[in-house]
Amino acid sequence: MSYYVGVDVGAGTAKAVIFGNNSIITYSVRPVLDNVAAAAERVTLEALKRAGLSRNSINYVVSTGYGRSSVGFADKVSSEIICHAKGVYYLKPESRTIIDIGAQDSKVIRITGSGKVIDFAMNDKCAAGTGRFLEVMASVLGITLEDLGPLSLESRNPCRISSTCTVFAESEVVILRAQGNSVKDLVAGIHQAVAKRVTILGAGIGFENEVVLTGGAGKNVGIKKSLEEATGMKISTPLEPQITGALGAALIAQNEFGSMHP
Amino acid sequence: MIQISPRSDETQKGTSSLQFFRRNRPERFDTDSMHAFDTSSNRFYLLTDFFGSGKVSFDLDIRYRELLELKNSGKKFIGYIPNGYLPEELIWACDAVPIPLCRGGESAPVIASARCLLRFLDPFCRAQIGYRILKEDPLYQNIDLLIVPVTDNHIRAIADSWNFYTDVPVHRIGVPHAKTDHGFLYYVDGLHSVKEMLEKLTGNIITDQRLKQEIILSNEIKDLLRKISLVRALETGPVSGKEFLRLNQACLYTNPHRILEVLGLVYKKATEKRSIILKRPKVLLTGSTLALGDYKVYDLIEQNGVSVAIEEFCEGTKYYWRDVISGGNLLQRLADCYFMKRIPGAFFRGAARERFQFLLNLIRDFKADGVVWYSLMYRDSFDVEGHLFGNLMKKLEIPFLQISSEYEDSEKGALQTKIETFIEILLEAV
Amino acid sequence: MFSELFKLCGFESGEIKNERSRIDEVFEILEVGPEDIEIAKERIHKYFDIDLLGIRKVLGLWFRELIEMVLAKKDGKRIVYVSYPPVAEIAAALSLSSENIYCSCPDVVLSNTLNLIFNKINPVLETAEKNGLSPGIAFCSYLQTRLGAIVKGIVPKPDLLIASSYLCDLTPAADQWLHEMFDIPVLYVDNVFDVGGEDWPQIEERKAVYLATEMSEAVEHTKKLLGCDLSENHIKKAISLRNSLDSALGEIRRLGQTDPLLLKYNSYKIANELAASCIGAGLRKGEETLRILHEELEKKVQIGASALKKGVPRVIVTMLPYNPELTDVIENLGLAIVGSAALALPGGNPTPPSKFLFRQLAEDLMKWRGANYSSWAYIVHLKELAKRLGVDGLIFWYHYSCRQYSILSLKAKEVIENELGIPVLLLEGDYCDSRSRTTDQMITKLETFAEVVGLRGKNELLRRC
Repeated sequence: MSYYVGVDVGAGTAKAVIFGNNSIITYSVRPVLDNVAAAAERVTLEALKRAGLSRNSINYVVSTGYGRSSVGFADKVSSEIICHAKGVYYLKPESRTIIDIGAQDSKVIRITGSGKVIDFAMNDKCAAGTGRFLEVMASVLGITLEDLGPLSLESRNPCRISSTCTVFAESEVVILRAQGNSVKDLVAGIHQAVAKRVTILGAGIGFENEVVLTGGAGKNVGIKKSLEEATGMKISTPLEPQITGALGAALIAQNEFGSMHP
Repeated sequence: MIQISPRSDETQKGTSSLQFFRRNRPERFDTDSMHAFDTSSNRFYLLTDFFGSGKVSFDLDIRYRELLELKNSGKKFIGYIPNGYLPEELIWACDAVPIPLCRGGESAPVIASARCLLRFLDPFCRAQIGYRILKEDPLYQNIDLLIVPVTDNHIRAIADSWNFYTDVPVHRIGVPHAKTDHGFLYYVDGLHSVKEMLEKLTGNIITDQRLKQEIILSNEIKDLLRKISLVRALETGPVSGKEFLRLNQACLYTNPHRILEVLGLVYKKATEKRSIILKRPKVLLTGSTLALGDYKVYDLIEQNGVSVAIEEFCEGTKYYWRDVISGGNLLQRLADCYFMKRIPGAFFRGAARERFQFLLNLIRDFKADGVVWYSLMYRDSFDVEGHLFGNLMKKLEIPFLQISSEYEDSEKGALQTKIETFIEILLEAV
Repeated sequence: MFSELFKLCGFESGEIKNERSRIDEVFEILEVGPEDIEIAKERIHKYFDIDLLGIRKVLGLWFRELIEMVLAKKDGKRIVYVSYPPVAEIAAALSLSSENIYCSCPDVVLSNTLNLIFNKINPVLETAEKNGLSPGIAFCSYLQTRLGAIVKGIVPKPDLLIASSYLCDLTPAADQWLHEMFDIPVLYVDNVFDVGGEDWPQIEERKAVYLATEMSEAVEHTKKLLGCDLSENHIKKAISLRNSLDSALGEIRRLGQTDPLLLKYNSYKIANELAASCIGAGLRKGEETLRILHEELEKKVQIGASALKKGVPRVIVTMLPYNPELTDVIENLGLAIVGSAALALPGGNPTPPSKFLFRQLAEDLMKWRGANYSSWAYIVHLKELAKRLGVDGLIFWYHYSCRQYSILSLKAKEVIENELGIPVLLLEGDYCDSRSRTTDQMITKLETFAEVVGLRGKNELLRRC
């Protein structure tokens, strides 16, 4: 049997997917601590261990993400936008719009009925609307990232966070907290702010059903709800939204290997 | 395919009036880069090798030495912003030396400019005073006059910053934003003022006869640039986008007779019969400014299996699509070519239609499979036009990518992702 | 629901009754609800000298402008939008030439109402961002206001745009966008930004001729496009009306420099903006309203009443955003804003109608505050103003993407500090958008500046509102 690895090395986390026999064998997600090359190595080894495979059993490796060029053992690199598109399409062929909110950037990707990317928009110059924004806010409020989503759902009266800059929004949240606003209302407001930036980002390319949310923020139920309110569309998230890029990379690995060995 | 061949004698000796400073930083350009401010020698190189059929070499180091000698012999260096609205013919005609101030693509000069200009300005415009502040490029340090053809407030900032923070005399000529009769006369008036200023500075009268000679020479250069450019429309595309860009930019600061020779050789080689036919998808690259040294977009496109078949930028490259009529009222003829017949930049009022039509013609004639719109941050008129052009491309179902740069090192990763993704979309579509 | 608000803005009960259905309609279009009205009332009470009938009536004029603008299409008018800063005499002349033509600057009207009073401009800005104008930053929020409002449908689409592109690159880009998106014809009144201006206040004749030609051609094209009878007489009448308005404003400005100050700066600014842009209601009733205000201010002088304390440090500002909170903060720090480069006319001499009408208009436009001419001219203008008013400091507030001002800010600071020996505070902000540049960010700088210009000790007055 042939096995393929997709490695997605982002700013915050590294993900690896082992793919074979037309299905996901296993995957792994690890934080990027010291350097991206080491993180890629670590996460791949862990995935291999889980799958009970050795390095030699892998036929082809594709890397993607911010640190893709640093993955020394990759046979090919591919842009994370293409990889996310392929990964999401594999999991849900009805998808037509992908919202990916990562640690450092956010993307809106439009795909066709055959999973090809037709348009995309990417916010890379500003932390607002990205995972970094949520991290900063969680830290300011003294809660964990995992607490954000469920807390936001408890709010009945979200605060309005008007600052479009993460740094200034942080100050705004501090002030609002000091004025007695509850943490859940603040958190709900923070989620709405993220959703707003993302909808503005994607306005130029449009949102078409089905819309899928990926990236670390895909685990956040509050973001999902805020995006649904902001876009007026139903949004679904894969069970493991962080690995769609790595999955797409693994699919490309399978394809590349196949074309080399018809 | 560019190769670089460093010269063995690295040091500059006997450089009395020009000063060289080395910046202590690692080599930022790959070995293919033409514009290598090689850290060991601070020189420019251009070598072009067409598929191993023989090198056409042109060592700009010779030009550098020539400039030194020219300066020491008392020639006047006329700095200018090469946005195509200052006819270099006027400068050559008074025996002065045109020095284009069009370097860019680096973050250090933009950072250096912060003491003069605030952030929310086109980084190319900020970089021009930045290079002067850094004192590393002798060309920026040794101009006797700066002529700024002012098109919009960003270019105006170059004129203002040099005026406020250097002792270099700054002469502005205004570029009206519409091709009206009174606009034409205003521009001609500006050319008259340039002529007078140059004559006063150099002590040489710009005669009609001499100006005509320079116009004819310039037309010959433009003719070859057009021919070489049109060769790129062929499927084989023997001249890469980056190679052409370097040739084009070399025309801005090289002795015209020398560059004419080089262009002739390049054209000859480019039209020789080829046995290998390389078919690659092609793009039109367009936008605001293509500075000397800002090759990252070319590299990202062309190193990923796509050719830049043709480019159209307002600043940083030599405009070559039209000749100047070399008879009659020559200043009016210059104005007719460089103002009236020139494709208007985005800063022209209501420029979109004429500009878009020209771009569509380029797409058609060069068989571009997609368009990359590359403009610099904060140049709003280009942002708006890019958005409008993007809408048009969507209607025509031509793949389109709009990107921008602030000349920051940190933006390279994201640019790479966007361009690579666009190329993958393009390759699927082609 | 809104009666109290409109009474606060100088409307009589009878007027409110007559206008009720129109106001209802306008508020529905603008999505202004009871909560917004409460916010507006609160802001008016807090930031304006509401005890003065003149100020209440000025606020009322802006509301009248807003109502006229939003309902112009429904009123069957042909609509012309000018951009800021407008060629005001031509815009006013258009309004005078026919009852069926409505001419206005929506950026300014919405900024002085929806933004300043209701604090409800963000949805408009977001709409503009969603439609291609660089999200968050880098495109002028004034123009985002204009575009967002048209796209959102809260102001009617115009039949003609007259773009004042003699100063700014963004305005013509925005109007070109409108042209391409909605097929609206655009006339550009342009000039070239090529002057060093070292001979200021002398201006180059060729530039005056160029701008005059642009203006006269714009008028000719307007007549053809609208089929209207816009004549030199209309322009002369407009000049005369505006001169009266300017003259009335001149009186207010003189009183705006007294010690102690008689008016809060927010009041002063909204009154002065009548001259900067007001073309409809402002032009018709502006002079009468300002005369009322002038009388009230004279009375204040007589009885020794004031808005600020006597003897506090005096500053001028280049301009300030449509965020009354910032101005309030400056005044709470004990700084008296005695003038603004944006609003003060050099010499205050009205324009006499001249034989060469457009030439005169062009020269006046270029001479106004220097910025329309060259960077150096503006720096000189600022310096002269600071000297004339004998101020203790200068706040150089600039809109970050307003390049004709931001490009010279560092040099202006250097020149004024060196030559006049007064401190200059550079403050970056956004004219209409307070999302990315909030007042809080500026507090520290302002407090420090206030100390530098002579306040002793930390000011205890400043507390968050």
